[in-house]
Amino acid sequence: MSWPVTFANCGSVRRQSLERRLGYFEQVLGRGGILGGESSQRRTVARSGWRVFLRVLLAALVVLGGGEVFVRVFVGSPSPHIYDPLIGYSYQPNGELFQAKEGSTHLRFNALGLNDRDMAPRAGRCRVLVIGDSYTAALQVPREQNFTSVAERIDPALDVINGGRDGLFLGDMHKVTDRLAPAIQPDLVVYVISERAVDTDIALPDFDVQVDPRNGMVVDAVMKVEQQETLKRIFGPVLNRSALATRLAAQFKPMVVEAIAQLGSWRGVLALSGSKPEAIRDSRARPDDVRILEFVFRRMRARSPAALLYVNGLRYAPHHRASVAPTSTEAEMVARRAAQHADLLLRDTGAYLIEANADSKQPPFGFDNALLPGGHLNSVGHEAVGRALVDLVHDSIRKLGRNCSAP
Amino acid sequence: MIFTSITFFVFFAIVLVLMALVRSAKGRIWMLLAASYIFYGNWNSHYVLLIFMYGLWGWGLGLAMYHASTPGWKRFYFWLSVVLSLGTLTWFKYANFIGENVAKMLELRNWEQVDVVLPVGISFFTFHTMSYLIDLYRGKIGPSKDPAKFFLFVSFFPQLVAGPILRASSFLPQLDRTLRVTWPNFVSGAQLFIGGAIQKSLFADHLSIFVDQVYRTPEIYSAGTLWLAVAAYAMQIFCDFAGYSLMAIGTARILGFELPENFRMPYLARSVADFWHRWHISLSTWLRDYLYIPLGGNRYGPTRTQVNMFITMLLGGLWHGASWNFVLWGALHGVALGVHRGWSAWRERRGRQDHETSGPVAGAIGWAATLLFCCLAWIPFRSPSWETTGVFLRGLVPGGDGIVWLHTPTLGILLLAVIWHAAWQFMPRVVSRLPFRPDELSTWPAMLTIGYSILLLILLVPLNAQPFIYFQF
Repeated sequence: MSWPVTFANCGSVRRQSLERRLGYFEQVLGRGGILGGESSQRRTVARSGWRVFLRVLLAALVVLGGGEVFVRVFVGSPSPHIYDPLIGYSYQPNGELFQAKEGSTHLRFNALGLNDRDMAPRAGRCRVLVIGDSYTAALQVPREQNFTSVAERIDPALDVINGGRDGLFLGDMHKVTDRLAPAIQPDLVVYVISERAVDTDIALPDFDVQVDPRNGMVVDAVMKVEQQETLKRIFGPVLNRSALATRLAAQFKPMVVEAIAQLGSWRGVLALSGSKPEAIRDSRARPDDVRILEFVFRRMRARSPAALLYVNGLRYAPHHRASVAPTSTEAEMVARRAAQHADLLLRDTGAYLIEANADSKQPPFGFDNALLPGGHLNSVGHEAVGRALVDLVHDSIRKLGRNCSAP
Repeated sequence: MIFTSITFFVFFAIVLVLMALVRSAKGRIWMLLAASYIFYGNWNSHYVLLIFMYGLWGWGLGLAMYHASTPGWKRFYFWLSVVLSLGTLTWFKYANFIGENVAKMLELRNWEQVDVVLPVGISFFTFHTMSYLIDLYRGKIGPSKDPAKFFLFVSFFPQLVAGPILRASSFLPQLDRTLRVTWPNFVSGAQLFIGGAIQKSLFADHLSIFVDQVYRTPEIYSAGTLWLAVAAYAMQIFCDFAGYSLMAIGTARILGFELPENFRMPYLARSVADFWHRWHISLSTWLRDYLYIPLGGNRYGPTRTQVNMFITMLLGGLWHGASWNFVLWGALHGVALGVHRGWSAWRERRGRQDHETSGPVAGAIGWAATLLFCCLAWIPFRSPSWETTGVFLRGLVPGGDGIVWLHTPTLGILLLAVIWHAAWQFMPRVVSRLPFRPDELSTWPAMLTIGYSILLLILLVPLNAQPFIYFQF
């Protein structure tokens, strides 16, 4: 039996059993009697088909319902993200988040959509706004363990506000300051950067660096803001309500991207595509990394008093020894030179993290259910970075000539 | 194109549609052949020529051998095919390994590595071709007269890159009957595919996150973490390879082909010999039939048997890759098989039963010893170098003060693996209910089992999916 025919016969066993049942009815009621012969046979088969369909539908609903419960209990909550025309996406004000990908946390965002408690009166304290990517957002640890909370605990004269958002690009950080500064009125803005910002972010094709051809000076460097796509607009409300949908979207995205890329390569092979490949960026026209970073840092400083905190990556050795990873040092040097040119204070966290590793005999990065010693800062790491942040703030406040007193 | 990618699903859907559209048996064979070349070409289009050449000389020399006018010519064609197959394999896989070692021995400082990309699955399609030619030379099978059928045997896409290793005697006759996609085969094949995908994507890929990290710098971890990595890698390589085999068997079954079983719960083995009856069965039987037996097998006394077994395992280790670590792994298994054989012979002389069948306590001891040996033997297999192997082995001794990392997903998967093996051992009736028959599909157990399997697979597959381990061999 060939393929299509066999598919049509997929319910042959079920039909046989139906035919047996029909035979029984025909014997009892008489052929052509109440059941009405062939037409009644067809009706019964159709009814049975509907029954199977409804059963499969019910099973699918049971599976999806169980999946939703499973994801909410073991994986994570519905997406806390909402579309943000300025920086692509931000956290829902007063939204909640559960995640068990790295560590396990239940968090609630405040009215400004920040992973912090609601704003408290300043009460003479120095208000520090900390802006950065996932290291700062710190979705992996309970709020009281993240480094902004640690800094407040170490020095009660500080009111440290966590303005982090996962995946925030270096080129977008000043936009967050623009948005939050009017409401928060910070005395100091600390930008948290790492190797990723220096090595990867500024090399991204979407990071558009514009240069004045007359003098070669960087005049603008902005991240191309992600456009809200139709699919996101349609599915956004679903993602904000369903943990299962959020997880499925996250799982399918890379596969779909890969499939589209694959399709593109096939089209290229088959010469079906009329479009020419995108021109390769002229690397000679791009200024060096220090100059780009200098521009970005100057722009940060122009908005409000600012400082930089650099989170180092570590390299581990036996007997709980660690050192700063060479690639992290290289990136730090680039950032440090740019910060000097921009007259911005930069403090690295290497020594703090190494000391924390030796004292606690536990890497400051990673979790038992994810990468260890890799991934994000854990509570040991946040404790170390919190200490570094306090020292940086003290240095900056001193430099700025401000005075803060404990409440 | 790996089985767990959307690209493969699109590709396979197109193949199924074409199977429905192409009505003639011959047309379907040509279509599958073209699909196999596209599948391989998706990885590296240049090497499609290589796989075509394997088909060409396998088919051509097979016919020449069959029609040879004298035994001398027949022998000539046979050895020519062996030289071509093994020569190509050696060039691509072992040229740098041999060159490097010779240069080291002769202290040649100006030796440079050959710039060659290892064709994916070359060891597998070399063994396919060789099995056909050896069987033909021995007169066990007749020649394949239809080139399309033979070329498809060499390059059949479900098993092209990581087995199971096909035998011409079982595959070619399947091409002589009309190829059909039937509903029972579809149902059973799809379920096997899902089972394989669960092993690969849910188990192996999650374990690799932990294993890769630990093997990168074993010196910084505690003994407990290293022992966990030993267990995790043993399960990872099993789930990775057995998962691939199951997906290959499932894919082939949907298309109407039966591929040989490749794994039979190897970690339930009660001796090393038993392990090799359950692990990579298509390779172990290949090595037995085409290497161990021609070397003399067990026909020339106990000492020669031990030597033959050792050589076979040594070369079996080398087959996995051009590294002394693989040779060491093969040698360890060769020695273990020798010890087991000697031990069994000694017990037989004393009139005792083989310990594998001599009661639950002896069986449990045999199982535990075999499991421990196999797990430890994976350390050189996985380690990138001798140094790492040494560091890893030293680290297994308790008392160090490394980082304690008890990766929760790894612990969970190992617990599931224990339950799965226990079910296989103690509840064979439950296990044998899978895969579900077509008439069981609309029952609640089937709908929920299949539904949740697919859902969990989609939900939990790691985003940074790993390629199959055996692709590199």
